[in-house]
Amino acid sequence: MRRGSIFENVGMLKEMVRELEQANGELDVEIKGLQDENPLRILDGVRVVGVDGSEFSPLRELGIPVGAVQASRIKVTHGSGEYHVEIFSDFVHIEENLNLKRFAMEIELLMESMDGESYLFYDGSLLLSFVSELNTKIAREYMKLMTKLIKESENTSTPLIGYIDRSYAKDLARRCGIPNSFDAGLLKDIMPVMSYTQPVRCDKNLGYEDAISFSYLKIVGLPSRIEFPAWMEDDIQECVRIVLAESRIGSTGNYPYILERAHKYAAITAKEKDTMMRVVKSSGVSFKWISKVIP
Amino acid sequence: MKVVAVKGFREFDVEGELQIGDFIRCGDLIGLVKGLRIEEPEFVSYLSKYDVDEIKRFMPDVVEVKKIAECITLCDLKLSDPVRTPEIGDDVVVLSDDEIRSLHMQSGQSGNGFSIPYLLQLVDRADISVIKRLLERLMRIIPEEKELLDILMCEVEYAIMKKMQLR
Repeated sequence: MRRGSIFENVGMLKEMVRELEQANGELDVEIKGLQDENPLRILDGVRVVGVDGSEFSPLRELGIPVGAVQASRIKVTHGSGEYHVEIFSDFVHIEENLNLKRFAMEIELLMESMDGESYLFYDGSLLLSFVSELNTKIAREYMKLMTKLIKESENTSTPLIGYIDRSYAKDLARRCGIPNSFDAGLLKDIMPVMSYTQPVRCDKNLGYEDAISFSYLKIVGLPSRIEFPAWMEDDIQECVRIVLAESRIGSTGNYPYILERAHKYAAITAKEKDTMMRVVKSSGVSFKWISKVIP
Repeated sequence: MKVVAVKGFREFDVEGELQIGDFIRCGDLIGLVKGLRIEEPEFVSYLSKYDVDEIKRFMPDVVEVKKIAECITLCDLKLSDPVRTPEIGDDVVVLSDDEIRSLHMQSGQSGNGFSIPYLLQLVDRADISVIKRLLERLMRIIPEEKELLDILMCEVEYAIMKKMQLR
């Protein structure tokens, strides 16, 4: 424990971040450059699908034991002006797992989109590292869904990309004996702008991970991590070109447009949450909550 | 079409393709479209990189504009004063000419079956051009009441002149 506020000790924070990004060993990974192509030329005629979800659980706090999940899917055929947006929602009882419900909805939307042509984008990791902290039944359900998705991608030859904007994964760092650092931080200064790392197969941990590979893509700043079924390894360059082009046409120039839009449609805004509260009205609202909001 | 905002006891917004002067029904409430606006399209944030045609072809969903109709609650289905507001998310439907006629020809309010009890409220809350448009429409839908509606129209026109200090 240090005396003083976090602002007074900000120097220590800076030092910790610097240590995380410092490599004392060499990363065993091959880096390849990408040509500076017009993203619209790359994407012309390419069909992409973005899926994202969100959830809403404060009704529990209100004394109403129901939560809500919302997921969106956007399909765009670049260059043609064709697109289709769909939004789905469901309500979840307090006994059910809200996060699992959301995940199941996202997986279902991706499964339905497996057409052998579209590039499917999922906002998040295909590796479910967090499930080890969950109870066995729920963890098994997560793994069952993801395994099914990965298999379906291979069976239908539909490219599937899990995009992680800020990854703190340590796969490469661990393999090179520097487990206190994280891959993206270590790669930040090694990778040139517009480059990617050759695919690396994930380590088997819970049982299905060796069916997934990952690469890092650096446009500018910290590299993003992309995860995909291992069968896509042979065509990684085309996959990375598509991800790069998608990212460059996004409003920030560094995050895939299709996920940006999927997120926009899936998000439950504060205004919507407020409205839902009003729709549910006051019946059954907990007195504790009322005492907090009424001065 | 759905209610997207409730701004006061009688005023609310609806997202959808509506026109000024449209009569709408929202549950048991009858409303009138008194204004239209569009929300700033999202493609503005992409314009620095691409032209509008490229955005339409490659990022088509950002070109879509949200059309918002500003509405006023006139009455309920029995032409009585409303006692509630619409709620966000409520479905909204446009009334047909026949439905507008039936609404205004209910017996019991003014003896002869024709009444516009909300008109006074409307004068306070909507532009005179909207009221004029409403009366013209009622003249077309309920021609047998044209004489009475003509008198009301004269009153409205007088009010316009009064505002312009032409009386």
